[in-house]
Amino acid sequence: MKSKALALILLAAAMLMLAACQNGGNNTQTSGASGTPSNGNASESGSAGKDVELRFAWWGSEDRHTATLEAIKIFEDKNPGIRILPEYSGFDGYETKLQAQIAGNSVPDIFQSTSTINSRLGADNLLTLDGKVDTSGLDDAILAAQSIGGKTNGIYIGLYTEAYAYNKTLLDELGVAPPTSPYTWDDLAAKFKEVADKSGGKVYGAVDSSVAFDEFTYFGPAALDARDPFPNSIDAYTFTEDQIKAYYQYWADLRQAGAVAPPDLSATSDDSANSLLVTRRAAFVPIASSSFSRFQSQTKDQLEMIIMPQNGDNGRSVKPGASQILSVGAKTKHADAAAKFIDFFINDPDAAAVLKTTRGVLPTQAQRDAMLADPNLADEDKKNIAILGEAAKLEGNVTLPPPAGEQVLGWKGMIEKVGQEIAFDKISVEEGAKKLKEQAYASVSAQ
Amino acid sequence: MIAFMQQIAIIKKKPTGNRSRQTVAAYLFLLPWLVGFFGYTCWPFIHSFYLSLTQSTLSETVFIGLDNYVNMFSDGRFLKSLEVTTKYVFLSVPLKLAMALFVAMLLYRSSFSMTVYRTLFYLPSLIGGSIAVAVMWRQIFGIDGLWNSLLALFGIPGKAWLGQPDYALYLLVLLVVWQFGSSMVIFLAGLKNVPADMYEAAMIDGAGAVKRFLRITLPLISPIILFNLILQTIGSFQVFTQGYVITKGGPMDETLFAVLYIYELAFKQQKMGYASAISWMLLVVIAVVTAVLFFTSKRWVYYENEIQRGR
Repeated sequence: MKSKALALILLAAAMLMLAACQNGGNNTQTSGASGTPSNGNASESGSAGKDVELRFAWWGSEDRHTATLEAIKIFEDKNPGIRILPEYSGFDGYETKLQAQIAGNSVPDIFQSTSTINSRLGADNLLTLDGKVDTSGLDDAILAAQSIGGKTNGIYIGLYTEAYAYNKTLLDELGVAPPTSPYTWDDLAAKFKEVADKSGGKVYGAVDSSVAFDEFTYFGPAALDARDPFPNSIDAYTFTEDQIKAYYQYWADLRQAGAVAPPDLSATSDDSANSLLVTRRAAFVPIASSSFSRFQSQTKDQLEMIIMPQNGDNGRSVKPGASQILSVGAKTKHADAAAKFIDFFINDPDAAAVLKTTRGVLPTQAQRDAMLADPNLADEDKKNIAILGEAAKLEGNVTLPPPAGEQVLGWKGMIEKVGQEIAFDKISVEEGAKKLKEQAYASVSAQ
Repeated sequence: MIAFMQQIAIIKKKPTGNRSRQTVAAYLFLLPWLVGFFGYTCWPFIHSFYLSLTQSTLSETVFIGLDNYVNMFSDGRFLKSLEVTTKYVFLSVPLKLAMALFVAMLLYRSSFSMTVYRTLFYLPSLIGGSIAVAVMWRQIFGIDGLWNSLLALFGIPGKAWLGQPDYALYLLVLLVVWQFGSSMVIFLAGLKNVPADMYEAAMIDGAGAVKRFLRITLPLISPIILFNLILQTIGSFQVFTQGYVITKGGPMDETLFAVLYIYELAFKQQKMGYASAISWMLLVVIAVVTAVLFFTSKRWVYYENEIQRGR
């Protein structure tokens, strides 16, 4: 009898301890939008004595996380009744997690996203922000391009353009002059070959962008004079088989000449520490201008950026777009507080001072002015602003979010899978082009 | 004495009461586990079978009957994932068991240093499925990794091995074969059960080491071999971590394991119904393979309580 009682007591104690440990650890995840328990009247400003808690999720690397946490602190100081609970991670798996959270009904109140990701989440899961946020400082055309289903449900928080980042130190060592804009894709190909030749094959010109880090969207207007909407409209893909064939052929020729990295190397390169740019295996790598500081922080070499090649005849390329957007979950319990935070994020000069270019160039002029007024502006920030200024002056296509369905373009999309098959000599360029076009067009109707 | 009399009195008073109270107490202790089992294992199991008959994104579910099962056979990637997983199982399991048995034979003699070696050989399988090991493997076989440095000593140019569609799978097989520790420990236990006098008798009759191994050791540990074989086969069909962390489905789907494909379908493409259908198909495949192993085992497994082999 005694031992039974003892066993029961020990078991109860163990279970209580486990429950206590669980609770402490899970606090930030589950306490979400608990808000104020009032008698049926949802009070937004936390005036019933309890803080309004908003969960805010984003992706990025260390520099962005640090800057964002500082910005959050400034916001909390200015708004004493609101607390922001940060949830941040890397980009890999971010969308998957968001989808799982939607299915499990635990979407964060505010989350960072892109128009592409939002198109896959669906307008039903996003809160309409029309009229809730002061968007007077934003570019209307770019803002409109972020909406899904015609409603404003994504506010852009940074501007970026694709750019070719290159290792200036490495180019100087090899005696290769960096390209100067305006230049064309053919000029770029010649540069790649020059790097490979002058390094005796040790350094490749660039990563193979038919296998990884796809840039078809920029190749179209510049090399093929493709016009809007390219390569897709909101509902369908619009690129032709000849266009994608030209793209694959461009890279096949470069592979033949040994000017770009072989497919196995390109496929295992990533967007950070293992990037061919950082490891000095390639001189040029295409990046989003908003991630420039991430690459520069990983190497002592001097990195530079140049805008993408332009069309030799009419100078066209692609207009800059939104780097990331902030959206609010449709089922949030604190819509007004969330809108307030977004307003702060895009308009407040104090936010600008800490966020700088961790998400690309700041979206509103007020913030850009505040940042330019900083006497200690870092080189990376200056480069980011300069390149965006240059890109904004270009004539070009406007990128739209892709139609719903399996991802076709962009990093890790179908275009790269087919590109790998071509690069590993499993199929020819013609077959690959045909295959990609058919699969891309079919992926839309499969929905 | 008095206490003893009291105990008898208690027992005599309630002969069945004590037993049923014990039963109730037993169930109470089991309750937490039972709740977990029914809630987190049984229910999802049944629900996933239901999902396999639907097209679902969890927020919207449409019943479509057996369409998922019919469509999967015209899905190139599914067939590829089956092919990849089967290749992986048929390569890694025999290799792993052979390594485990070989090392177990070496470590069979008990001595202090051998105990140390046993632990050392077991360590890789302890840290086995961990992300850290997967990342380490990716580094070793990367373009600037250890393996290429070794090859460079012999003047062989290195490649990014894990990006090569012809080699990536074999590198993952190598990783898992390196983690043979748990099988080895089981084999060690089995080897100890082989009576030493059998070996002595054989040695007196002039049997060499190889003959002793083939005629005595193997038959007597064949039940253990079967056990390990089945355990490892069932486990290997469900490989996921190595594929996900090291190669992410690999260059051109060459390391797209079945569970990895299920993960991609369910969580990246939100095709929960189709993913559930494939999971059930995987279950069927594993069941069939295990059944085949069991049936053919009658021919080569020797249980000591049988009079003849192969009956």
